Amino acid sequence: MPGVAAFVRGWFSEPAPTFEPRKPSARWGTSRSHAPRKVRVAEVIQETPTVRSYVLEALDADSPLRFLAGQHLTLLVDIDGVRHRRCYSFSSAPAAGARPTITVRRAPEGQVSRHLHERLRAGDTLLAAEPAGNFTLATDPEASRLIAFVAGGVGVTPLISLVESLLHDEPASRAILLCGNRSEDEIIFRERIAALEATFAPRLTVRHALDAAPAGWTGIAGMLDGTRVLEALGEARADAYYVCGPEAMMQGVCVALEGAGVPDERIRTERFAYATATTTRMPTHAAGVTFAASGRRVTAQPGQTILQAGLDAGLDLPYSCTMGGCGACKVKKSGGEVVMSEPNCLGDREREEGYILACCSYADGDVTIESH
Amino acid sequence: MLPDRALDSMPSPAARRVRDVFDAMKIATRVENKKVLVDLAPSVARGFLLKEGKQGDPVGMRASHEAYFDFRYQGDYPEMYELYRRAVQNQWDGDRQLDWSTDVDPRNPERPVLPLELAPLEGLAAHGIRLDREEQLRFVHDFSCWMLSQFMHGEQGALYASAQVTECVHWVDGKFYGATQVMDEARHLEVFLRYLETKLGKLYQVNDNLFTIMDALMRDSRWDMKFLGMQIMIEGLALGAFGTMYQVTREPLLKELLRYVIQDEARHVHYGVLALKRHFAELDPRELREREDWTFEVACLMRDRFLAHEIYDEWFAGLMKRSDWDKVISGSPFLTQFRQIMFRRLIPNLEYIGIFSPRIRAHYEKVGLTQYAGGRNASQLTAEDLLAA
Repeated sequence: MPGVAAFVRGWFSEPAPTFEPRKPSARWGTSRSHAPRKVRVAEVIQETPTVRSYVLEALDADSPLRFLAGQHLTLLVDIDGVRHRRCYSFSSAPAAGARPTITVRRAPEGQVSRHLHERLRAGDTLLAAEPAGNFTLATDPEASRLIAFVAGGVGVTPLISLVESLLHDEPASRAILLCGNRSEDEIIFRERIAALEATFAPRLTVRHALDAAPAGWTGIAGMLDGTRVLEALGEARADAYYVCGPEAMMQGVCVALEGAGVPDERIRTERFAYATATTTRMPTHAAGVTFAASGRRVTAQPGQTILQAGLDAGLDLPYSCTMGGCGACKVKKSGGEVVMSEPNCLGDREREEGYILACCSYADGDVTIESH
Repeated sequence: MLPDRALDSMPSPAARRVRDVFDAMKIATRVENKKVLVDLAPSVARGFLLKEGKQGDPVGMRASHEAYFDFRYQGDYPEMYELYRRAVQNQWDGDRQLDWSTDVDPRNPERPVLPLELAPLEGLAAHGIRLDREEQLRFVHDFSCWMLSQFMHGEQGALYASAQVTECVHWVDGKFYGATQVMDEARHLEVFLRYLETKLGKLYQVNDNLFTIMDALMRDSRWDMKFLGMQIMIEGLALGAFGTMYQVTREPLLKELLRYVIQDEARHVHYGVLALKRHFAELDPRELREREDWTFEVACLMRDRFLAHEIYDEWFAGLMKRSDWDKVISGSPFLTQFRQIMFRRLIPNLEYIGIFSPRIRAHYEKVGLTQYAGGRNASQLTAEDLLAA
């Protein structure tokens, strides 16, 4: 019996120390979870007057930032003592050997994007969750296919990553990239796209559209809506369509594609929303959200969650995971209808009592929230 | 009474062993109920004399209970089912929901794990031990590591005991609930271990008192004793201990970690109270008396667990007598607050489940623990009450 031997030994010798210095086990932080990590900004690139790209590198060389083309990174940004979470798509492609890069448009009302543009410099560190997102493309070197990419504004961010990935990894495949912007100086990645065209011609076809086309413009004149997308695609029948941009534009393009006989499963969309939007039906109109306690009324744009709308309007709403998993953003709805992403952590009884999760609820018409 | 002067003349390893023997004898002579003595004695020997928890080897604790099967699925207990539903809906993820990127500097006086003012510095000074600023910070760091290590060891015990309890509980609804508690305990063990390893960097061995209690209840074949030991005593006292730590710590990650853990613990104690209230009402007086006595002994062991002899051995052995250390640490502001909250949580539960008769009350009076009688029990307390301590 080892205990007895130790007992006898203990009368004659000092016991071993009752403590042990401990180094962290390798198990911690290895799960594919949202445990945040620190990344350093290696370089800042001004893409357009309102868009910047941030090249990132992992602080720990043993734990590089691994991502797939089309995925996004959730940044945890502390502003005045309040932690904000925002998702930004990667604009670089691992297949092209590029460093992880996210691209951020400075939104006029966007507290976090404004903060990043004004404060973030090369050498600064950021807190980020692990890369996530399903707006990806499984490439196959043997495949020979055509994929159409339709981008509106900063929606080009994940798409250029996907285009590069396709062109590098599938030598026999082709891509059509349609980019819509308001004006010429707002065209994001213009030179990079031109370089891709030159390198991969004739496998890559690019068409730019401008809302306000100047005289002599040779691209598509007018907003890139469903009709113009169909015109630009012409007879081309793509094996898949990737669409990313403002909600209204996406809705229009999807409706047009479906009208042209494109099966639903061939259309992939990415919405720049906080929560993973997994609702079967997304409201397509802006709606008013009234917070009864403060009397504040805010407007939720299509694709914008109630949490996002409230936060953008400066309301101090509680939240944590922003993915419908923790219940921190639970609020009671006293009027109107919402569409909620499923599954989420709300219990049956809570639903019956009128609770919703603000982080994954979309106003379907005007809504009233009891609190805040 | 241990003759300090006699011990002073012995070589220190032998003096230490004599103290161990005296500690074990003190417990044995305090126990009046012979049946309880027979139950506890082997565990006391393993914990205090053989020091099985401190040998650095894995320890086997042989279980002798029966897994209770009911293929008719009888015995509804709606309150317990409700508790189960609440547990299912409130599961959390320690990896995802706690911000492990938080920089924890255990010696940062602005965000201390335990505030310096709660350390027994005056008591130590009265015995001629004056710590400089650096030593004070190091001492508080070590004490925090010790305290959290004991929490963690207790969670390991809770993980296995809750699995045993799930096997032997008699209600199907209790088995549903028990499974959620097993998951809870695994998560608690995970977050305490991760915090100690990645933020504080030091682990202490299990305290003899805690080892003895865990050993006793893991080996006991009676399901209600496991319940009593685990759900009421260890969980109940842990709840008080976590609540105190939650109140005093200014380190944000630990505070958040404890907030999550406390919310789970509140359910665990409520579960024990529900089960035993119904069961104890059916026991004969002799069985009830045995449980009262057993509980009293475990309460004393739990109280003495916080004397932190592991810290004494590391810091002050040879510099002051252990009996003096016991007085210093018992009278420290932190331990005083700790004991108050712990027993304020425990005693009302004992009253509620029916094992706080006038006879045993006199025993508690002798050791100064009756001032907490008459408080609210687990069925009347919410997680918010517990966080407010």
